Amino acid sequence: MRTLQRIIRRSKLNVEYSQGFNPHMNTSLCQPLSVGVYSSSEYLDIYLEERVKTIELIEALNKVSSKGIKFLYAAEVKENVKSSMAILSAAKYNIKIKYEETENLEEQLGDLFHLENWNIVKKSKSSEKEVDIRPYIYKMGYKIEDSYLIITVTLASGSKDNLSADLLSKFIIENTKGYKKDSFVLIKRIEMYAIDGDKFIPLDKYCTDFSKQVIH
Amino acid sequence: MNRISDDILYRVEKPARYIGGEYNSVYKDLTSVDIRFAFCFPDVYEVGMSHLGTRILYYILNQREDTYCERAFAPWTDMEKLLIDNNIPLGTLETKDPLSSFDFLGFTLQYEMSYTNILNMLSLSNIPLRSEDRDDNFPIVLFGGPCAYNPEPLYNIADLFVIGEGEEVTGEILDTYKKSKGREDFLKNASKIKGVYVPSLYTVSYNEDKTIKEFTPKYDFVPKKVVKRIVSNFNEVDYPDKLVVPYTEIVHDRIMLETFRGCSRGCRFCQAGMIYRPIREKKTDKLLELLDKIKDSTGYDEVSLTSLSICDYSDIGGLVNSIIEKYKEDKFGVSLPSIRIDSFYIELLNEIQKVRKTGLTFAPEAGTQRMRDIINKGVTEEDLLNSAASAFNSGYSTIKLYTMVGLPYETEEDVAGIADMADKVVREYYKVPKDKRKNGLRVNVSSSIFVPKPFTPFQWIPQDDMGNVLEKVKKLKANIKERAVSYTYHETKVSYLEAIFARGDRRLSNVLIRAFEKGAKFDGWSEYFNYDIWMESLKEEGIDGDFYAKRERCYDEILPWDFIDIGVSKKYLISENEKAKKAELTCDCRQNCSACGINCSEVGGECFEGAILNKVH
Repeated sequence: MRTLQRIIRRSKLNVEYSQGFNPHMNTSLCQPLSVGVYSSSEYLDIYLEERVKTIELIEALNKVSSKGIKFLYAAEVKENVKSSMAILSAAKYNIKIKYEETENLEEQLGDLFHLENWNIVKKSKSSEKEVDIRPYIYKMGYKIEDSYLIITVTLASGSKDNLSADLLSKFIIENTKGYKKDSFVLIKRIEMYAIDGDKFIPLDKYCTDFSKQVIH
Repeated sequence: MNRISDDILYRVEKPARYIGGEYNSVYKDLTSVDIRFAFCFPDVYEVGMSHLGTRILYYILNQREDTYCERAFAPWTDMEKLLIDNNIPLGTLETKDPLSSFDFLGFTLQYEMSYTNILNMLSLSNIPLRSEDRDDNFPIVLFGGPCAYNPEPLYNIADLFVIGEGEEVTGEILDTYKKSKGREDFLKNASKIKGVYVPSLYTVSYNEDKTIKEFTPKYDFVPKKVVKRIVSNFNEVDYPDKLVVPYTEIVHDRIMLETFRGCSRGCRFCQAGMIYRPIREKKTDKLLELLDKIKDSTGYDEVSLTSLSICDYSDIGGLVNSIIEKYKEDKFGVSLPSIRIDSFYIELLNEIQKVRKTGLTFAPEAGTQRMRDIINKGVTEEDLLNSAASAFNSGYSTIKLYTMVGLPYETEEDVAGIADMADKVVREYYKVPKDKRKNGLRVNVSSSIFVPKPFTPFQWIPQDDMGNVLEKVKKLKANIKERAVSYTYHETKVSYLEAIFARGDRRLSNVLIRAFEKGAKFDGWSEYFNYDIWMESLKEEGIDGDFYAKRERCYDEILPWDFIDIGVSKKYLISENEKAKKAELTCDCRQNCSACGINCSEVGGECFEGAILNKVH
């Protein structure tokens, strides 16, 4: 967050600050990424003191951006709308797991998919409990290529229901044989969604189609 | 060539320490440069990136078109293990190239207990530790920084040392390198540069009592004395207009603006106050100009005005007010790293602190007036109590007092006096009307043991025995009457090792290497410091640590650092020590010159260059 705030300061955009003794910048990320996860689709809410053309805003930010962060698109949100954090419902990920051998992998995954419950121990700071993660997986597909298991999955995300791609990867690794020990699991977030009825709408489309709702 | 991969990064603590790519970090085309320089800070990223000197030299060296300067830091122990297991040599942040592929490695000596980390960084890049074992295939190893003022314990590790300020001399060293043919030729040429010390060009012989007999250059062209270097015009010297902005939190995560160098107080225990003379200031408009550039290029929201005794900057009020005024719409903060014990500065602090922090720190250093006069601290009890009163009136409820124990000529009463001093501060709090003062009074006092340093009036004094100090501290604790006072004594065996190395000679070099080979590293971190390793190493090398730490020297002894000319004369240091014995004060040199020798030495420079007033305020 600090990095993003500094980019915004360097851009000299007239961003809004909170009141009081210790003012902080009014910005918030839709959902922060875990360490090691990268993304092609993140959302940031910024509150400005004055209106700017979205093209100029993007240009100003990209001009002073840090390596690895590129601003793609901006849209103005109407008053009294919820933040992107509040409307987030799901996210799509590409997960790449390295295996020593993939001979039986297809079969093992087939077996897994037949299970009704996908149980795994979820560790938090204070406790450990077993959870069934299956209900939080909305859509999942995979392929096995060169020693990698490549999964594309849409998971529940947000303040109500949330399943991290990391936990899912752990589940897959624990319930299959042949994962290359200690190798890095490559996780990339590729989209974030709000829900409308039973449809998942990418947050940026949600912004332009439903002007009454949030979007950043 | 093995490199740090994602497989490794995700398994270590704070992987951001190793990735580089920060905003304003420099990337150059390797084919276009003649010299590759690696600036190495012998501690982890968060500590090293907070060091202002690293940031300044990184900028200055990269301004040269023929040079590419990159940064390297000590890997934490978890990363170190993975580097070794995976055969990955230690590299820089920018290109990740191994240190062995550079032309120059520049290490900064910030504190004695970082030396083993230097050895570790060399070893992790497969570079021989001793200068004599390196040939033209290895980088030139250069050391600088405050501990270089006694370079001798590292004499056979570095190829050369920079004594003094690096901004100009480093460039001269690189120019000389380009004109030289090979290591030997280069080192001989470099020894002629003012401020450069090449240890291999001097021999040292010892008396029977193990003190130094002679320190002589091997050749006629090698200078008998190495004169320290200062920059020629402090106001105009090159200073970064942009700083690398770290991704992760570092110890000092804000803009640091250096306002002046040197200090006029003359506290007798303080090495920095002696070695950074003469006092030279930057002008307010210059500082504002620099600040504006850095602010724009980094996006930082706070600036810290730094120097040894920031409140002594001749235009401190003007500077602070100008910054507040200029950036009042920008939500930009100013902070002062230290505060002088004078109520004027509490008022100043009130102006700049938007959020009332709960604590304020003072460093009276000693508990009785006699002791404060011995160390020439120049703070009276009245000053301290007035400042405390001012602080409590302004809404502070916690005051921290830093003190030292084991000071020269100290008595039991002096140490016990710390308790009285703390009690008096507490009583100031209760003088403030109940509705005005903030709840939750705490007066936190801490003491650490004094370590005598070279180039101070106390450089001849033995370090006090730890057992002795403990006894005095016990009595201090028993003497505390007020409940709001809490006292901590930082007892640590590291101080004994510091005292050995600070005033050590060449014979300690083997002790250092041996301790490193036994596994010593991150000695500045309490979880890693291993006293036994050091004791064993001293024993195995046949060295008695007390010879360095606890021996009283006489004035005519040749000290290992005598060959360095810092401008302040030995005569002055002796006279200061004699005054200390009588608890006689030397006033601030802004008031009256006390003839320390700096302005008639070969160092050059002018006292108070750039300052607007030659007065103490």
